[in-house]
Amino acid sequence: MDDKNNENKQKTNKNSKEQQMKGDNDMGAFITERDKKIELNHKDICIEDSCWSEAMEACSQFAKETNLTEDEVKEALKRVRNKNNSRY
Amino acid sequence: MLETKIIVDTNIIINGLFFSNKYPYDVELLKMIEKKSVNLIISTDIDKEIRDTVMMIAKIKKYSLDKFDEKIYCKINNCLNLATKVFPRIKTNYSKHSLDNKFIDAVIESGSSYLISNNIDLTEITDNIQDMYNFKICSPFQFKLFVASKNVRIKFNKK
Repeated sequence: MDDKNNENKQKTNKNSKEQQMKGDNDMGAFITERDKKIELNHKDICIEDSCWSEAMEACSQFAKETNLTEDEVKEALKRVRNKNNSRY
Repeated sequence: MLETKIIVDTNIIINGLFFSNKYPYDVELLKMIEKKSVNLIISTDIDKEIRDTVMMIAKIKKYSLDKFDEKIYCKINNCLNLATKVFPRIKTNYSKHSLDNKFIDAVIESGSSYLISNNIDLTEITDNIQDMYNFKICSPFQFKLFVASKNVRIKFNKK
């Protein structure tokens, strides 16, 4: 009977150790994930400070490269509005 | 001034982005948004219209969509993601053109103080309606003047 109890105790200890290790691994994964998120947020903050300026620069460059005209922009907006209008 | 909520018409954002040399007041407005001097509010419908128009421009110019996505769209996406989103519960019918009503709906839902547009149909919306919801429809140039004048700002920020 005592032997069986000891065996059970050992099994329980082994299980709890395994669970603890798994938990540690999960925590490790969680921390890595969290750090990644912080890094991403930090990246967002960096972008945030000049996002409209960066977008304006890229779009103006595109307009120059492609000789984009105001009529073409009006046409694009008109097509989108017509498409959306037909949806409603 | 960040508490000053503004709704901006699609063509002002598009012109400010693509023709920054020709539309200094539109650019100035975008810079104010960037500096967080004002709070840009967009609804899902407005957001969709801006994104669709930008993609349509690439399509009209027969530009490689992958290249466009990587070089330009991702930057516009960052800007739009930073704007405050609203989901209007009331659909109004104040403008002659049904698609312009989404701007009014966003104003009402967010309690914005200004709707910035050059669209004549929108600027024709009566003072009564503007007074009822406590907002002002103005061009980017007029908005600049409003901002410059503290008295006017206080008047329209009664809420």
